[in-house]
Amino acid sequence: MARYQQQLYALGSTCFLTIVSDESEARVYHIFASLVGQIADFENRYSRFLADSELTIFNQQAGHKTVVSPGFLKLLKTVQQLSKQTDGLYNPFILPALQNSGYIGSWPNPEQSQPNTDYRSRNVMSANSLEIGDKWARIPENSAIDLGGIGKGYLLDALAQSLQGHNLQGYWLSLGGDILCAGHDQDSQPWKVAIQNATNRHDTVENITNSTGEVMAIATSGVIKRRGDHNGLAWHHIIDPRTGRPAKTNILTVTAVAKQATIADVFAKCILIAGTSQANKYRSDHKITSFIVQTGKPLTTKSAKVRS
Amino acid sequence: MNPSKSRLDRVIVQQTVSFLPYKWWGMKQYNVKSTSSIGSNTLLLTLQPKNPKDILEFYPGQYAAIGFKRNSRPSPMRCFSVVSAPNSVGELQFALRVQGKFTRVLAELQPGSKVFVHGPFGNFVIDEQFDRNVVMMAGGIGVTPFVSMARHAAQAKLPIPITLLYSCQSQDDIPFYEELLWLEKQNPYFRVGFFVTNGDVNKLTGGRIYRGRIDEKRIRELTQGQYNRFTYFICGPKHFMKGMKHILTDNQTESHRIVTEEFTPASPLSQALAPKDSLSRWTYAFSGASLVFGVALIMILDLVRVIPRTVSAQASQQATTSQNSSSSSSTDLSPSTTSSSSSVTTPTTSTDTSTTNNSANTNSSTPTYYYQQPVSSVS
Repeated sequence: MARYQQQLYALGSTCFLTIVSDESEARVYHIFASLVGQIADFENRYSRFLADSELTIFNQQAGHKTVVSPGFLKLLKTVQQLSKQTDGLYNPFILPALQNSGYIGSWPNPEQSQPNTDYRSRNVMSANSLEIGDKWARIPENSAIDLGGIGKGYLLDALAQSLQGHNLQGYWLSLGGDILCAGHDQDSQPWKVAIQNATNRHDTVENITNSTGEVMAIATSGVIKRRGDHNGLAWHHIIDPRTGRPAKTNILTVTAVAKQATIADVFAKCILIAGTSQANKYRSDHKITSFIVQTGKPLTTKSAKVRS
Repeated sequence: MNPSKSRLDRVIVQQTVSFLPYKWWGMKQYNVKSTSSIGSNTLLLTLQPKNPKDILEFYPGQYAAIGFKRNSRPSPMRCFSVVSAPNSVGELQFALRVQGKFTRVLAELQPGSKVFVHGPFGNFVIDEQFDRNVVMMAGGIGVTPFVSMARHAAQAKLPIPITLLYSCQSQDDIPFYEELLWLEKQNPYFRVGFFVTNGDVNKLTGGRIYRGRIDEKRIRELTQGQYNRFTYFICGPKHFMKGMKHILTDNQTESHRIVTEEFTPASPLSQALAPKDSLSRWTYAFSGASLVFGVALIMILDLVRVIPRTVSAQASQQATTSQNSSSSSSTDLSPSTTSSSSSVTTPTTSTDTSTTNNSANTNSSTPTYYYQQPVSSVS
């Protein structure tokens, strides 16, 4: 039984794919190639920064019924479902507000605008404005959606599903810090996932152990990355759909643990927006297994230096 | 070294694979299964996926972009309608007119050649909830999306009445003639009428054959004057589509009941990619022009600098040779050699200090990689 790891840069962040298996190296290489292909395909399809992605074409067609691929249709249905479950706290229509705050272009050039992917003149709509048919979907005219709030989690679940048919003793996958793990390590020990300290990136605050070996997803959302100053105002990338502005909170990061990475990813953001009382509600409703909240000084203009 | 890091048991690929042409990643990889001619200048291209994950998921009527590699260089992508039905597992077909360099090369591809497919695109799709009576109007090779729809309708036994009005220039050039007649027999909801605009029709032995163009009279007969009971799909040359739309709008057909397929200027893909203003186009043009002139200028400056030295070195060499036959020519040419080597960057192997142990492998050419622990951080 051996442990293999591949690192790549995708989705605007560093990703790690780790597999424990007694399969041959050639077989493991094939599995890695398949995972990397899926990640690249996902980014090409659903990135808001690419002018020819399916998402961009869909946003260009706002107001019209647009035929979408089965994969995109499934993703949009998940978006719709989670918007309902979170009472609109997760809202894919916040893209114009996000861009007006300052996050327009791809990191590390957030203020760089491209004509085909600039939606600052459009409006934020309510989460239930998304219409979905049997092969088509429609968003209201003059609106645009972003899948950044769900993308990494959704992709992690898809990657985990594709690993099910392989003879693996364990794996953990990290897409820019969102982690999904199952099985055990090469010494038959459970996976331990460290949670990064919000104020010191070289330190960790806690280790979460996957003692059951079942699929466990851990997602951390926060205001300490993807932030900057725009026209003298501090911004970060977590938009409160109720105000259309970056969420005002003293929470620096929220780590949510769930059985699905999509759930962990979305609910971590919702807790960050709505606070710990909402987190307790989500836990009592069995939507998430547990959560860790790290608080600190609220974001101010002085403290908001661009950090990736 | 970070004590939390331990050596990996085995290394597969630690570095990012960004040297790969990234845009190809999202492409589906297919191999050419066969190419065959179906009428004058019409090519039927049949592809099979390289891997099961490469199977293109599409709806009948959509189109996809095709590209290939020639002399190890990727070709531009061109869009063509898919002819096969979505459930034709392991096969993807396109039909196209061979009338340009791209399609000629495509026609010459041998079985097994690698082809990249990107897509699908387009809204030219039957909405089974809304489109309860369908009239398809095809002009020439514009029949391709309808072939896919008709194949799918027969396979899926769609209970939607579909009538295809197919306009062709001559009886000798009707791609898919036999197959459409066969599909008509297979699917009780499907009917096809062939309209031959030029010449005789004596060679056509089956089906509804009409001489002349698709006109208002035929459409009125078909719809019994109730134009808004049908959804019309139109695909073909521009003048054909304009004519058909004209007939329908003159008869007060609601605009949402007319669906047209235009591959180039109005497609969502080209809209998304098209520069929105003339400034972008000018910027693009100036960038290209300045790049060309810049390269040319550098080349000229290099030549101006190197040629006199080479000439003087040769002159010096000749002079030295004549004076002392034992002198080495390399010594004489050294200024020129030094000059050229100074502009060449020496290849170096750069390693990430956070993942390699340089002290342990100072003399080793193979870097040692270390295992990254799972850490959940802000994504």
